[in-house]
Amino acid sequence: MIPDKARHLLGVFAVLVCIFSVAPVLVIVLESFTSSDYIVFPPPGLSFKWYVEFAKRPEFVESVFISAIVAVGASMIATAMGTMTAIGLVRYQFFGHRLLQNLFLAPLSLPGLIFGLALLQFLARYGLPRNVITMVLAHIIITLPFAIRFVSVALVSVSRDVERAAQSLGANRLYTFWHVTLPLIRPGMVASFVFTFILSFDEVAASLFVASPGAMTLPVRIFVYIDQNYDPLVTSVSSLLVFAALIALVIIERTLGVGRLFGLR
Amino acid sequence: MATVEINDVTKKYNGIVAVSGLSLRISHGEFVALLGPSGCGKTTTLQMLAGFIEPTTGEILVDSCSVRGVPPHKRNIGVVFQSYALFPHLNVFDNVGFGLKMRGIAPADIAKRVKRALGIVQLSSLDNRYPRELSGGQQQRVALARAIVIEPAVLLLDEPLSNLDANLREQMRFEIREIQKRVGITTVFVTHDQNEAMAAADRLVVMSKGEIRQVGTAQEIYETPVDPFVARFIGQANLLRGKVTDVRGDEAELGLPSGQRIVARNRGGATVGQAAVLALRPEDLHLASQVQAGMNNITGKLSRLNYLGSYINAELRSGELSIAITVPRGGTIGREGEEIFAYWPPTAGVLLQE
Repeated sequence: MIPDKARHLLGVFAVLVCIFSVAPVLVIVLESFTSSDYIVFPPPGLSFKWYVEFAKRPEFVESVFISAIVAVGASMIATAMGTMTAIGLVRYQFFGHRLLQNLFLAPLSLPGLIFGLALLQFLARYGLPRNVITMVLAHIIITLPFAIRFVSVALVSVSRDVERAAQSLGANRLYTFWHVTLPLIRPGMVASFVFTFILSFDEVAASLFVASPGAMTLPVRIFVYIDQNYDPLVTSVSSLLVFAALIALVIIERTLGVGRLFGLR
Repeated sequence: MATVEINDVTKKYNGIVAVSGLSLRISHGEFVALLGPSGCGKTTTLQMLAGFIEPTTGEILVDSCSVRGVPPHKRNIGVVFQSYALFPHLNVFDNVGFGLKMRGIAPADIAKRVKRALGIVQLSSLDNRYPRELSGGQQQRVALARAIVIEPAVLLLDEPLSNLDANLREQMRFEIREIQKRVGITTVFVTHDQNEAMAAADRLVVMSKGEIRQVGTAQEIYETPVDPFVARFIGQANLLRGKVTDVRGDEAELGLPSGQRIVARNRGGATVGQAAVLALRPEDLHLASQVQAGMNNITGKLSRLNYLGSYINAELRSGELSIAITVPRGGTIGREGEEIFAYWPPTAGVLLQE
């Protein structure tokens, strides 16, 4: 048992940790409503002018769409590929099993900048275009290890005997997969989809190298913009992302439960 | 219903032999228990019958047809797993109806047959529950209903009772037996629990290290085990090791290391000079305060007495030997630490060759 005093201190500590992680986001959001023409905290007056400014900048709006398309594409494909890879790695033993497992998880240990540079050289060498498709491919490579992890964890918890029971009752392998295995690993697949989506939407390092004027994701756009300008536009763009994330969280909590999604409950 | 024939089946995993040269015939509607310590190959045998794994060599015939290469979903088998393996995302009705759906049976018929199967295992009225809402015993019955509703050619039970508590286990043992007789399915039951096997099965197959040691009814195996392993594995046995010193008619004289000679029925045709073991059940022995004429007698010190209600477990120490004796309530027992005689008739026990 934890003594009462320690329990109170633990509570204070937990609150401090929460403030520490949420405060920067809160500051940005508050700054975005400033009436000033420069970034300052606390804002001298409140206004929506930087949100209006955002709506007037087509390149930012376009980047939001490109980011969304890239994130949806990358997370769906990575989750599908991750599921197939996880099945192979979890359900079958074969020669080179360990090697493949390490190979699939290797991108985790590769810094984004180095990966981006390598990708840029590769694309240039073979004269490949830098467009939305190559951006999606880059993001699949970055997010695939996470997809494999999420689905593997779900798959390990599905007993082989349950699949065997289905087979003994007359279901072939394909039917067993669709109607027994898949429903049971669905939470893991949804978690993989959500997590890889966020990861892709957030990705800067590698995307910096692959981005081109026609395919510039939002984080890259902000990065490039902030290099030249220092006005509150970036705070309103960032705040919009925070609002989107909040809405997504609320939807997930209402439908699935955030805790269940990540296997905490 | 079907006959099952296992012909000289061997299974190796990376050179390690799990089952070796196993042959067994199971007739229509028979209930056979594969019994043995863990690692004896009984589960491997079951999985080969189910088609989850293929034998390395040898053949399995169901109704005289080889099932080599036939995948599990085409074998028409019902399997009850140790973990029950119910589908967690389906309710009881859909769990039990799964196999019928796979066979393309009309929904109305499925409903009828599922209802009947749930009636047999006494679980009507629970069709809408999910597996996680059921107790272990209920899950076990759902698993059984799911396996028998498809009217399989062969029913395979893989330690189906080991996750239940003792009372429920005893009850389910008889229920499984009764249901099996009522529906008359050829059944193979894998267990490491001899009581379970004896209570449920028509015939027991005692296995060890991938091989069959003995096949027979519970009575045959208990009363005439073929070797010391079977004698010890099924029930309790006192093993008196020695050398055959004389053979007279159907009786053999066994010289124990202590120099004492005992007489036993010579069933196995032992010859003079051979090493042999007399296997005696604890209830074959009796206690007395003096030597009994015409009996085998061993003297020793009563080292332990355990009162267990309907009977008393006694332990006699005689030199190197420790002998377990079951004394019925009210029988002669003496006191702990007392010098006493254990005696048994020459007809008791089984003389085995080492």
